[in-house]
Amino acid sequence: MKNLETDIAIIERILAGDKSGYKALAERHKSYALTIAYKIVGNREDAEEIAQDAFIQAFQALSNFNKEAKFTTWFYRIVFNAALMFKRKHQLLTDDISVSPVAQAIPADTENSLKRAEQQKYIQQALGRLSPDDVTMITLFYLKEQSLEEIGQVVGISAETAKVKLCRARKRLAEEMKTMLGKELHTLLN
Amino acid sequence: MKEELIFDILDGIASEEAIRLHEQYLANDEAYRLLFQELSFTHDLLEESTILEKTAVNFTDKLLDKWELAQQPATQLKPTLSQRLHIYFLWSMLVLLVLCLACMGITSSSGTAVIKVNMPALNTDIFQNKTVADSLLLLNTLLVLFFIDKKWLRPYFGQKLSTHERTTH
Repeated sequence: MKNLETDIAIIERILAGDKSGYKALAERHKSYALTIAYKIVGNREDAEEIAQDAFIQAFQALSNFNKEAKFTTWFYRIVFNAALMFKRKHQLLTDDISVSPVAQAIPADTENSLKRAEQQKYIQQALGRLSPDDVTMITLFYLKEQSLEEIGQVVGISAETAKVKLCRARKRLAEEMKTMLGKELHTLLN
Repeated sequence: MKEELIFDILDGIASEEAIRLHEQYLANDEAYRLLFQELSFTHDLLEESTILEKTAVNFTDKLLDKWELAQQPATQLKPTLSQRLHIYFLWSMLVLLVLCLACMGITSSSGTAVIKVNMPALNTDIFQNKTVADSLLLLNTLLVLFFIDKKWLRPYFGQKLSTHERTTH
C-alpha cells in the first residue's frame, strides 16, 4: 500500500537511489506548501514558484534531514523561510492581495452567499496585514494538521510561545476585521 | 485573560470549569459577550476559508524538470557570437584607430595632406629605437605564446590529464 508509506520511508527510497520518490514526496506535500506560501505572499503564481523552490531546497538537503524529526515540520519551515525571503525582497503591498479562489468559488446566487464571499475577501485582506509569522501560525492551525509544538517549530518558537502568539495573532486578525468592516460588523453579528 | 478563555471555548479544548465561567460571563458581562461574538465571527470565517489551495496541473512535472536541471553539473557554455560582439567591436575600433594614425603619419610626412588636423603627426622615429623595437617584439612573442597556449596546449594537456585520471581510477 503505497498510500500508507511514511515520508521517512519515501526519503529512504530516494537516498537509496529511487528517483520516483521525489514525485511521491511532491505529490503528497505540494498543496500544503502552496497554501503556506500563498497565505504569506498573497499571489498564486509567486506562491507556486516559492513552493517549487522550497521543494528543490528540501531535495538538495534530504541527506542532512534528521529522520527522527517530522518531515512536514522541517519542510514547512523551508517553505516559510522561502516565502518570507520572497516577501522581504518584493515588499508586496497587502492591498494587492487577490481575492482567494475560495471566496471566488462561493456561488454568488443569493444575497447571503454574496455577503459571505465579501467576508472571505475581507479575511484574506486582514490576513495580509498580519506578519508572516502570524499568518503561518493561523494557516497551519486552521489546516488542523500540525500540533502547536510543530507549528512552533515551523516558525522557530516553543509550543508555549506558539500558543500565546497564536492567541495574539487571532485577536489581531479580529481587530483588523473590525477596522475594515466598521459598523457593518455589528450588523453582521446581530 | 478573557481572549484565551474564548479561544479555548472556540477550539473545543476548554475545561468544564472554563465553560461554566464562560457561560457566567456571557450572561452578565456585555463587553465579554461582544468580544466573544467578534472572535467567533473571525474564527468561523477562518474555519471556512482555510482550506488547501490546489496547485497547477503541471506543478509536479515542472518541479521535476527543475530538479533535473538543478542536479546537472554547471557547465560553462562557450560565449555566443552576440556575447562576443562587444569584444569584436572594440578590436575593430582599435584597428581602425591604428590605421587612421598610421595614415595620418604617412600623409603628413609626404607633405600631401589635404585635411588639416590639429594632431601632431605620429613620430615614427620612436620605432627606430632598438629598445622600443625589442620590447615590441618581445610583447608580440608573448602574445603569440599566450594565444598558442590557450588555443592548443591547454586543451591538449587537459584532455591528456583527464584520460590519465580515468585510467588510473
